[in-house]
Amino acid sequence: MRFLLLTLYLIAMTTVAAQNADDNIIVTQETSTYHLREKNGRLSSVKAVNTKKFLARRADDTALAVTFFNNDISIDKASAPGARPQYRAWENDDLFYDGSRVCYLKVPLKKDKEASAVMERTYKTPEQFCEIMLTSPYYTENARYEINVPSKLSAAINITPMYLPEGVKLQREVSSNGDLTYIVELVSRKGSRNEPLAPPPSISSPKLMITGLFRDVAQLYSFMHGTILPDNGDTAPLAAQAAALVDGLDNNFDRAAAIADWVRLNIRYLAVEHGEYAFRPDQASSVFQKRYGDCKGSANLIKAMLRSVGIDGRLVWIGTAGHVDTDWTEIPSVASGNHMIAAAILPDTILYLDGTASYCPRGYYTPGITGRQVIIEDGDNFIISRVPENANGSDMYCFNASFRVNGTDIAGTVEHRLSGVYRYAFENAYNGRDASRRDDFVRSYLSPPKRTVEWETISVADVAPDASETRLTADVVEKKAVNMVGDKMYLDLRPLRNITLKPVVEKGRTKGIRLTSGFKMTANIDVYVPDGYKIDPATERCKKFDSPWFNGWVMTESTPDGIRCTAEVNTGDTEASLNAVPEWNKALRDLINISNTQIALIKQ
Amino acid sequence: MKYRAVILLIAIAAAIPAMALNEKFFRKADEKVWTMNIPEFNPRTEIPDSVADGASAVVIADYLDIKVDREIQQSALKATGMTNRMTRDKIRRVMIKMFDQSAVERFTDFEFGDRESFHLKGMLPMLGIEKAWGAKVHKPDGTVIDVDIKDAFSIGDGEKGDDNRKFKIAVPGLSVGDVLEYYYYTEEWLEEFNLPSVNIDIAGSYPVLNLMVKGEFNPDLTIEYRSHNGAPLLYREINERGYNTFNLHIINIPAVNIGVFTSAKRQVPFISMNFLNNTSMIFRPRSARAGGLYGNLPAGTYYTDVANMLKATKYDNPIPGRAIKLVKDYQKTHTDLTDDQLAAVAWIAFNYAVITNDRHKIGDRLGAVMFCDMLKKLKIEYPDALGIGILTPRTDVPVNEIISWNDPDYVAVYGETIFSPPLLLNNQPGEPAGIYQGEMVAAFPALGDKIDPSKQPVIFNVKSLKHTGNSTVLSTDVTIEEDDRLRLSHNMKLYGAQKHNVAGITTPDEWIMRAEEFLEIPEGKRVKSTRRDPEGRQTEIKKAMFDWIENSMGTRPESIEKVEILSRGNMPGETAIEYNVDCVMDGLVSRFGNDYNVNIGRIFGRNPQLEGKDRERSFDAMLTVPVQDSYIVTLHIPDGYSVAPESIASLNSRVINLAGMFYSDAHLNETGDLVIQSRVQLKSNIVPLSHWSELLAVLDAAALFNDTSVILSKK
Repeated sequence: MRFLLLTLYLIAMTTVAAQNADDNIIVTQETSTYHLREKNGRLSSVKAVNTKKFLARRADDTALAVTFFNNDISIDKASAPGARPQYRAWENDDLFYDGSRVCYLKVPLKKDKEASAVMERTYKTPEQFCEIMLTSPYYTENARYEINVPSKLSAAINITPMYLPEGVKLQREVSSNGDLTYIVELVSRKGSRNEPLAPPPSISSPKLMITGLFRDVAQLYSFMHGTILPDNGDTAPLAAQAAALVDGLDNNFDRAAAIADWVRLNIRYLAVEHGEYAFRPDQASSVFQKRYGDCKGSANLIKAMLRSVGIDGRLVWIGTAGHVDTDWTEIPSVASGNHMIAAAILPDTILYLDGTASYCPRGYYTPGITGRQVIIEDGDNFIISRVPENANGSDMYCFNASFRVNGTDIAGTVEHRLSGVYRYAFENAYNGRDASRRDDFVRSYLSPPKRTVEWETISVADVAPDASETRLTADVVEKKAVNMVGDKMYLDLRPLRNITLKPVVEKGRTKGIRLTSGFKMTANIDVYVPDGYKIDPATERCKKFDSPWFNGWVMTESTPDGIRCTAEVNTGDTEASLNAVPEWNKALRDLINISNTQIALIKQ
Repeated sequence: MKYRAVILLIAIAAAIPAMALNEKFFRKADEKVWTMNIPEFNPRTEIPDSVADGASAVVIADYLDIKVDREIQQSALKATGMTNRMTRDKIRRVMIKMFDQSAVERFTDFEFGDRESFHLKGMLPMLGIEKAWGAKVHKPDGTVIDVDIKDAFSIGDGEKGDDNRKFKIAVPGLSVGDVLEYYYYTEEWLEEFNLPSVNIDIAGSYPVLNLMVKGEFNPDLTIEYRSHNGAPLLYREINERGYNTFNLHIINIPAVNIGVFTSAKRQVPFISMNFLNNTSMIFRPRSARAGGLYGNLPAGTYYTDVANMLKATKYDNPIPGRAIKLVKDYQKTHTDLTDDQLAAVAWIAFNYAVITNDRHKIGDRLGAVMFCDMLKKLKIEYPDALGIGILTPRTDVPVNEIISWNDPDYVAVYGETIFSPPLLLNNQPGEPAGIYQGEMVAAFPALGDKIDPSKQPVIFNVKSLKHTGNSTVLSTDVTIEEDDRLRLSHNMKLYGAQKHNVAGITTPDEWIMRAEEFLEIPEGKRVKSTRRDPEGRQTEIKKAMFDWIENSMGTRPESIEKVEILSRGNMPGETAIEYNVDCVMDGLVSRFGNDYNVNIGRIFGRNPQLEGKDRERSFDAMLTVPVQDSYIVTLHIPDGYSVAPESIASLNSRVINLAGMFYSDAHLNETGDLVIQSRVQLKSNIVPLSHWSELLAVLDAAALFNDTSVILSKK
């Protein structure tokens, strides 16, 4: 929905961090001051002044001071000795256009001599001023953030700190005339960088949330709902399309699903987010006619199409998991949301319909929205609710195979059954490929890691776009899966081969782990072994693994024709704190080792 | 653009700020393009199943129209009193049918540039470009959606967003089954200078039912083209205006899969075309052709142009003099330099002088001329073996297919050695870059004024270092730690073109320091850079080493403990880049009971198996250079464990054929460690289609070896 400048800021910070591989450049002092301006008792604008003192410790260098601006946030000053401000358009693959621009200063530094960069901006639309990230790509000795709230706003405006380091507190000072100053000071702050499997900075890095722009959820809703304009275009075509889609369907659940499916497959995602369009949904008639839109436009179209066939369609504001950590009721601010979906209000349930989730199985909610709090429009009122969690086991990957030993290879048929998030991800990737390269994609998707495979037939079951499961089958020869040592035959089956998680580097890590979603994987592998061989009793067993994050088992047993290997893994907690990362790594390694343990067969 | 860069060199820039979208021009373009009656642009065209099958989209019609003219007007701003402009109107119109959503996504939005203009300060306007774009969507029911250009978004740099501006627009209403029709229209003019060249691609990633190319050229202007890789010739006609024209129409062009081992410029048909204003005041070769349309001129024609340009190349630059002094100082303590050694020292001195001089940027042509003059002044033993050569990299057309003296790269030649500016930080003096090895060189005697353009150059091929000279040698000691990680201590040597795999291992500043050491420049005269940061550099190298190890060994290390660069391979006597690294790798060892399974194949390089379309070919396979990667891995067997003979035997593999070789060989040494040697060798950079299966066999064997494991059993 609204691609906050904050998100761009975080992207820029990690880019600068990547370029600043070593710590030659540090910031000795950073001061950020935000002056809130009041007009008629309301917040009218915010003046932000940021000063960074850079220091090159070992050798002359060039520091980069970066800030973003757009039509709603002006850049008033950017200066540093020996540096000229450069202004560029900022383009992002996820957004077609949002008007974001970047201003940067390349600050030349002489060793051991500080140089200051000053950047001043004005937030002209106060709704944009809802979060302050307390991060920097550079190591910072001292950082001070100050928010000055005039007395007339002191009752309304609140500052809520989040993810502050231990021992750091938000201070509050009151002046004699009632003006408030909020202060956070950070000492010895490490530079931010990308870490694999770490929660995104927006939900893990220190920040300050500014609330009070909206007194409560009701006022926030009033603002957001106020951006929606009546549709003054021709809605007859979309109504006709909706009618055609629901023709012959006898219940509203199926009708709503048919409409949502059509929107997902026929409306290209193309986000235009500049100015008011960051909040205002595009008219349904326009989205229908253009055949493209962002999440807001798609949601608005679903709503309109639902209503045209007599289903109570609504717009829904939501903050997606992995990017927003707060509920609307907790922080009534635009920062608590970044996405819009639609809802069909049925007599006994609410169906949530995400217009951007192409190939989403019917009745399934993608990990980004499941469990998240929502605001559903209800005329002048609103409904607070929560997207239900998917049923247990919805995100499942089943691997079934039937092999026979063929020299040092195993040959046979494999079947992969994908549901939930697996299906969703596969279908989007598959259908997004040029037709001539889809087979290549399937091969690469099905190939077990670190194994050479010869392929014969490959088949992707042709199912409805919203089917609950995708089934891929292939006849394969997996090379070098068998080792002979004396009279012993070792089979390398790797039943949980589809786990792509890898242990993370612990040294220097600053954040914990958060998976985007939990999962369940199962495997059933039958192997027909050559005559005269049987499973080594020492191998015939069930090996379990159990940790807060992964639990499951791998079992190998004899069958009349050979052996059967079955396995299952379920995720538990999808998060691990920084202190727990070594244990998480160990748990993952244990799981992988158990899966990769070879099966020994001995001569009968 | 190339010509714009030339203008900036000779004058002070005073660019006119770009203005808002020129709607009047867009309307003009719309009118011009949409009223063109070209029957092939029929959205109802039946597309045969044989063409559409397996394609995400099919191009129904692709039309390119180029009109080049000359404009002469009176002008008080010019010494001649007259302008001499070259103008070009170009229309590219395409009609394409969408068969699936991936095609819809691909054509969902477009970008097009803004108008540009340039004039010399207070003087004559020098260039102008107006660009327009338009599109329509033809629906299956016959309705047509016109794309409104007002929906385009402007994206530009600068404080106001109007520098380097471009526009983005989304195509409304596009769905599977629709036919999209779009065009790009450009009107450009350039005062005195040549317009940029144009390449006409004959085949692309979608099948094309109709490719139409038309040209119309003022007879005073010189248009030269070449048909590459089997592209058709253009049949010249003269129209009623006396203009040179051609009209090309090709039907049913299949899609081309440009995958691995393919060089588009050497294997896919295309036509390159130059537009020259040889009536202008701008300097050009004396042999430049008069007005006309010339196709596929013999290479010798362009070699003569090159000779004329070389003859006219003059310079006034202190760099050679400075470099000569460095060499002479070096010679005082090294009196018995051979010819080759002298040339190498001179090359280092020359590049040192260039790289440490902030003000003078030297291009390849001037650099080659300067270096040859330098060697002459240093009294190289065989001055007649000195020359200026032209060649092209393997990623471009061969040198005998150039269509301009400006196309090739210029090198200095001494005997069979080439010295190619600009400096390659990882290469020894005279060591050819991989992209040049084996390529044809046309060499002219380095006689300056005395060059005789009527004499054709000598043609020879740059020395190929062959697979043995473009090689890596990796020796690794592997120990299994108690936690089942592998500790590797390895030595890596990279030779020839393989040095490119560690681009970034030597920075310009590090090269300067090595050069100063080599040339024995006194301490007081060395460059004192205040930006040197050895500690930061060590961190950078360590970080880069993760990628380099993953590329060379096939597995990314979990941690790197030590990096030691032993040789940078860029000075005489240092043939290889060599470094030692200690690292730890995870995920390669598993246990069952008391036995170990070590996935040892995973440290023998990254050899992915080619799949699907990549295994199918319709062209010869082109590699950059012949290469060879050799590995010697010593796995220390933990106490109490042994390796079964069968396990050792399973590590032995051999595929040898005309395309190359893969072999692996394992044995136990006298201390009971497992030693595995492996080599991948690709002997030629061109593998004919008829031998593709042999190359595949070598690659497959190498990929398969990556899956190999060894079982260690408890005794």
